Amino acid sequence: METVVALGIGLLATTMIFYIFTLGLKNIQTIKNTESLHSNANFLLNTFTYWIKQGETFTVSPNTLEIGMHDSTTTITSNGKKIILNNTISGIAYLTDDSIGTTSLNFKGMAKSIQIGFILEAGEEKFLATTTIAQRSI
Amino acid sequence: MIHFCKPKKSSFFSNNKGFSIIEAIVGITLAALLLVAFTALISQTIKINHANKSGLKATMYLQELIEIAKDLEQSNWIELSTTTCASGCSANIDANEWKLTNPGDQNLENFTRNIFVNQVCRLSGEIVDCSVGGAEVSTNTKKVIATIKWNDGVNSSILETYVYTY
Repeated sequence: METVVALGIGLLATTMIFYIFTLGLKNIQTIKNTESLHSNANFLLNTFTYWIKQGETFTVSPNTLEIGMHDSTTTITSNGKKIILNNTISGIAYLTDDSIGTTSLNFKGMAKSIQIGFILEAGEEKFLATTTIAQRSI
Repeated sequence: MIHFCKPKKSSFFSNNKGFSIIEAIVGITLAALLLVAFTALISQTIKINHANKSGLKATMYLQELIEIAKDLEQSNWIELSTTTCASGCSANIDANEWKLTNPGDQNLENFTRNIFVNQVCRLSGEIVDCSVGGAEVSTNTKKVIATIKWNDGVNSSILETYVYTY
């Protein structure tokens, strides 16, 4: 009888442990994805700020931003799931990690600033950002 | 005749009783302790992660107000200097231009943000407190203060900058 009770408790405990560890591992994966989203969003915002502050002329379409400088032009756009920066001198750079998907990238030209909106995805996690970056005062 | 009885061994291997309920309970207690620690760790990490996300978004929304002020500094100084924003305005888009609206608590997700535009006084060209004797209100300089509050009432943040017209 004691053996049966012990086996029953053991089975119950094993099931619980398995369930909680599975849930925990899923949470760890979610945390990893969120961290990745935050670092990518931060990097994107810093990159946008850097290039817009450098810019002299701007051509804004809903999904593409063309920044003209005195010796080159930089285009920022999304190609499928990636955000791509293409400078006529230094070439192409991918602004998002392989693990990150971009479901939306929008630009809106204001009088002296550019409003930017993007949605990044990693797994089931999403990060939605909308911000504005002003041109530098000349 | 004397018989020597061999004492019965009670070693681990000769004990064939198997796991008793006591061993099972001890094992489960240890496992439960580990699980509680593990769950607490995960829960804490999720909280920190959430706080990071809020911090990042709040910084983004706050910096946006300063950038809007920098836009208006170049594009519409009159909007920036004549709208009464000493007690807080919100920033809104109207026909691809930024406008300041008074009064204005602007709610964004879990935050409330405001932009304040205050007068600046100068004395011999230097920015000074307006209470200083001889200080005059500058017509070409404004002080912009951006504030954001978390709607849970716990956290808040402020950024300041000066804007000029030339």
